[in-house]
Amino acid sequence: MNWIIAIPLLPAIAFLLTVCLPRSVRNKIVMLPVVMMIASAVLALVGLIKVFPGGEIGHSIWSTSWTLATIAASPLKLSLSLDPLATVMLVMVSIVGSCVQVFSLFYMKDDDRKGWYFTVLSLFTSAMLFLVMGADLLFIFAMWEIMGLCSYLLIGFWYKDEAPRKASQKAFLVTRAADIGFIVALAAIYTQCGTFDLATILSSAASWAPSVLLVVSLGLIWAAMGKSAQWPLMVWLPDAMAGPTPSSALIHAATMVAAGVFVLARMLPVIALSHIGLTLLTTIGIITALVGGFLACFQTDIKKMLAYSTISQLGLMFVGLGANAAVPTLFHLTTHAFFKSMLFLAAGIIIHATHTQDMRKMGGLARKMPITTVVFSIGAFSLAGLVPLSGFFSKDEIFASVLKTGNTTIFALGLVMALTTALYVSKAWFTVFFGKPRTKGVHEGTALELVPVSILAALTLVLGFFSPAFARFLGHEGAWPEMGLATISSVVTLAGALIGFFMYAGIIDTEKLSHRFNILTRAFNEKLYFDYAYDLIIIQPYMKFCDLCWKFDAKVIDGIVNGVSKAYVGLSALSWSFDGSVIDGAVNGCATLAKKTGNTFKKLQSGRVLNYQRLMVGAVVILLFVVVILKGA
Amino acid sequence: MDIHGYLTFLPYAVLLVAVAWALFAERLPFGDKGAAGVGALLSFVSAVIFVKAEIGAYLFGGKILFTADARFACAGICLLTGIWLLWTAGRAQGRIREAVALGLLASMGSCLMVSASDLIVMVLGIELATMPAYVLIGYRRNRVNGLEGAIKYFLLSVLASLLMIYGVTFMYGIAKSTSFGALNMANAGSLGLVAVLLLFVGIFAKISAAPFHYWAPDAYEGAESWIVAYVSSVPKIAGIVLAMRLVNFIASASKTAVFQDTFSTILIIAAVASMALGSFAALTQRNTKRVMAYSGVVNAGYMLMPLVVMSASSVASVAVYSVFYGLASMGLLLVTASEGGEIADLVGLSKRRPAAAWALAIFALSMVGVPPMAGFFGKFYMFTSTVKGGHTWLVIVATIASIVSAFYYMRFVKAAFFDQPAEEIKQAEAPVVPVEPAIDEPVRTTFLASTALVICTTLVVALGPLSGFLLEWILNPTW
Amino acid sequence: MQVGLEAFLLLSAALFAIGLYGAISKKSTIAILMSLEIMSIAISLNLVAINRFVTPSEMTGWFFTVFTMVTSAAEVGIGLGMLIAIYRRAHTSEVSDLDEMKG
Repeated sequence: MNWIIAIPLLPAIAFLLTVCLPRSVRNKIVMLPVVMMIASAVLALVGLIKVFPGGEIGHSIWSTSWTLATIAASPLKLSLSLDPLATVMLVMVSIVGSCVQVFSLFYMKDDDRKGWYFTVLSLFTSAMLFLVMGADLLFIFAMWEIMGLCSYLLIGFWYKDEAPRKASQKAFLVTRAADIGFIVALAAIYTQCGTFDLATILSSAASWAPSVLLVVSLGLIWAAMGKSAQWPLMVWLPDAMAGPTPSSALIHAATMVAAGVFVLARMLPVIALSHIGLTLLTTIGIITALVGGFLACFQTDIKKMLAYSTISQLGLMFVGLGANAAVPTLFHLTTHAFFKSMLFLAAGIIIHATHTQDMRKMGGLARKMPITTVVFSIGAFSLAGLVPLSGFFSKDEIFASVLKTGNTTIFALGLVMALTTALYVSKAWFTVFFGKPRTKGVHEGTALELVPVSILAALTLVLGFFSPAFARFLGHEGAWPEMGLATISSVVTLAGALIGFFMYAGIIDTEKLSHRFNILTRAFNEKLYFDYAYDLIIIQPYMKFCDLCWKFDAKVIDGIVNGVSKAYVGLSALSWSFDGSVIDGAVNGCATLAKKTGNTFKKLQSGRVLNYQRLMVGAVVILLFVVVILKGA
Repeated sequence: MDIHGYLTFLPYAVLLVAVAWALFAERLPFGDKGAAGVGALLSFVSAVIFVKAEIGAYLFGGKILFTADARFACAGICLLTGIWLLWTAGRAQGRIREAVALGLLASMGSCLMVSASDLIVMVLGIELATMPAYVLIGYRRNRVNGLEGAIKYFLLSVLASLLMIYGVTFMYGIAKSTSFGALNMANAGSLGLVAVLLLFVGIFAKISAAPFHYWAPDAYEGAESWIVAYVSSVPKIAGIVLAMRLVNFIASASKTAVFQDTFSTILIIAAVASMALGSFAALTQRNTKRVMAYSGVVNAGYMLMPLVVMSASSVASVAVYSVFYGLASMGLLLVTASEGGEIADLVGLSKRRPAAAWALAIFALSMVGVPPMAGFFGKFYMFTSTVKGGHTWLVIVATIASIVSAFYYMRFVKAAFFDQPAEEIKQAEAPVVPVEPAIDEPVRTTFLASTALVICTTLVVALGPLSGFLLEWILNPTW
Repeated sequence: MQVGLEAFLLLSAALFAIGLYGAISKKSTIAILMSLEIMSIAISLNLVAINRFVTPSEMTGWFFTVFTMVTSAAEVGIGLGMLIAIYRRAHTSEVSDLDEMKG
């Protein structure tokens, strides 16, 4: 079954071939990556049939590994393996990847760097495909980092504008800050296992020291929080809209954000060993789900709304992981990947047609764009969780597993999140497709755009009925939703949708309401003051602190004393910045702090040889002191 | 001294021939550029001979000892010298024959440094490697900045050298011998520790580890970029490999716990100080060479870290990383040598010289440590061997430092690919201001210079995945 | 009174300290070079004394002395050369005037 490796390798080859070529040639052969991607999707489907009827997660059906190097006695391996979970993910990622690439053919056809765009898309998809097949944590981390780089390149694709540049830097910095967690977890694992082999790690985890277990869990959760845009690290995802719309579809569905959830699901047996890890996952997840849901209600930009809905849905997945329910979470990840990528692509068609992203300027699109309306509706209803679309089944399964843990509070909060979801979906749906047309020259999308979207829509339609089959494929008991639970969540969904309709139709006077709850409205419009809070809690006190350091500096005399004190201030500032970044992810704060620290160090470099000589001799004296007095030979 | 002994001695002789050629270049065919070309050729030849050199060979009655790490470092030094001279033959302007001769002499000194097994030869090697560098920094005598940098480097370096030799005299007194094998410093109490400390002060200064790095930013800024390309890479490899050998010899001869504990404390202090200072101080720099100077400080910190552990694999990983660092640093500076010295001068590089811009990106990514570039693998091996040695917190510091330093490497890439040329903005806003050309002549891409950069880029990309073999080659000499 | 190794080492330490003080306190480049020379002399004295008292049967220390003298002579040569070149262009021989590059 060695042909399996071709699935991730084909897009990688497409990347390698195109990256070497000059731009003019690259722009002409954009079909190459697309064809490679589709071939990879076909192979993935064949693989799915071969692997049927599945088995336990982690039960390797095919594996390969080659040793990159041997350091002393421990080998550094690159190993891939195919288990039922990897198979499902391969199918999902490659199908979404192909649809996005085909869609982009038309969407990006006039861009003069479209060749580069497809090159990065190929690398991005290939990295995710390799990641899901990875059987070695270090290899997974390498792929994880490549995806970070790719999202940076894609978000900042239109680098000539200010917003994409800033957004790409924000995304890169936030996810990098989160990656520290992954590195810490890797180091901790290495001290225990001496290897990064996934199977060994999972089997030996039970015998680890509790402290190491905790460090590993927290590190991985922190890393996934950045990648999967969880509160409070979610700030990068809404800004990431600045990239081309199809690439957002990829980032939001199949690759970037899915990687965090996927790695956590892979490592869930380890995290589940510590109670703190699961509780943390649930807490973070539910907060994210609610915050994302509420914020989505207040968006007028269609892509922003979809972005916040992604955050909210990812929060739900974290809740599922927190309930130690990997299979429902992965099912929701899969269904979400299909309908969210489809929603983004459909939104791309709408934006192309109306030349605006503001939903208030759209309206009455149902007549002009019937096909788009149908597919978007399927996606939107699935997102809202309407029977019998796939989103309903997957959400229901997560709710069921939360109930099984007996945590009714979380369940109730989950229902609130479902209510908000239905609310903003119905409000947006009515606003965009009904009422009076507010834009001229609206036309249906081309076939090249509609076909991939329709494929994804068809999958969204039918996938729900495979819910028990999905669980069985991953070696779990599959069951249909319970009637009671299904009724409750359906009622909540309908209620949300009704409120949304009332708000759209003006039956609920939003003006009056927002006036009454003035503070709340303002809070939501200001993104719940997140950016403001970062500014207030971290950046400003930190500026004051720097100012303090500065003044303190100015008073201390020149020379060696000066050098030592500055080094001390620099170091304390450094540790402070470490705290700040770990606790709050305040990227801006860190950057400025680092600059100030740098300036403090720069003052040591006064340009005068005499000072240098004195500093050097001072350092020798200090070292002598350390050696002779402190260590006392 | 049998035939293998002569074979080991041969590369030094080959380098000397190249030096002689360069000194008489005006009377020989092709003049200055010919000298550089011949130097490049002979450097590559000696690199190949070094690769074939026999391990464990003693030369000159035990004054020189070839070990696997020394062999690797010598080959790396000659390879880098060759690349540098190849570029010099293609691109450098004006009178360059002395620069060629001085560079070759410094490389010879560097090879002596890493293969020395005697304090006297070590001191001579260090001096031979450093003295040409003073002159190279101030090579263009009409540039006051260059001379200022040179005199700063000179004064600080001589001070460090004298402190070092003063320590060495005590080591000689304690060990009653100057041979590396006899350096038992553990029974002499504090004096032994002080002597070793002074020796390492000198070495820290050579590899620009904090807090003895003050010369580097000023000297680099004053010199021309192509000179810095050499000075920042080759002597650093030699210095760090020498430090490694010394730690090895001294630690294996002096076995008391107190001594080893203190010894590693010194290394830890220098490593942490270098990583903290270098990574932050470079953040706000505008000059390419200054950034690279601080980058050298950070990298010295990384490379001192595995020395604390002192296991076989950590030693090998340092040797391998030092060469990877040298390649990336030299490549990056050679690319910028055809532009101005400021980072802002790189703006629009991807339009003007797309290939060079891509090479620059590869070198920067290798510096950041992005897989699959060589820098990633080098760092990975160093960090894992340090974790294995039980110094996890050091690696955490190093990780933070490398995250911080990623910012300023990415600034090169940002400038070369993403920033808009300043002239366009200026023209849009203000009346036309004549922009002073950053360099004297327009950029001419020559075949030799391009070849040098291609070699450098290829090695940075290809050696990463092959680093396992390189480590194996060092760890297992019979292999 | 027997003059032992300690006496020589103390003398050389005093010389070294004097040189070090000069090197970090003088403003004139010439004076700094002179101070560095004093440090170099302290080293030579150390080596000769150690050779005489520790390994009297070998000549290692003497050879070492010769080599350090040669290298320090070469260093001073380079230093003076640079000093002259700087004096021609910047018309100063004081290192404190050379602080164009910093930060």
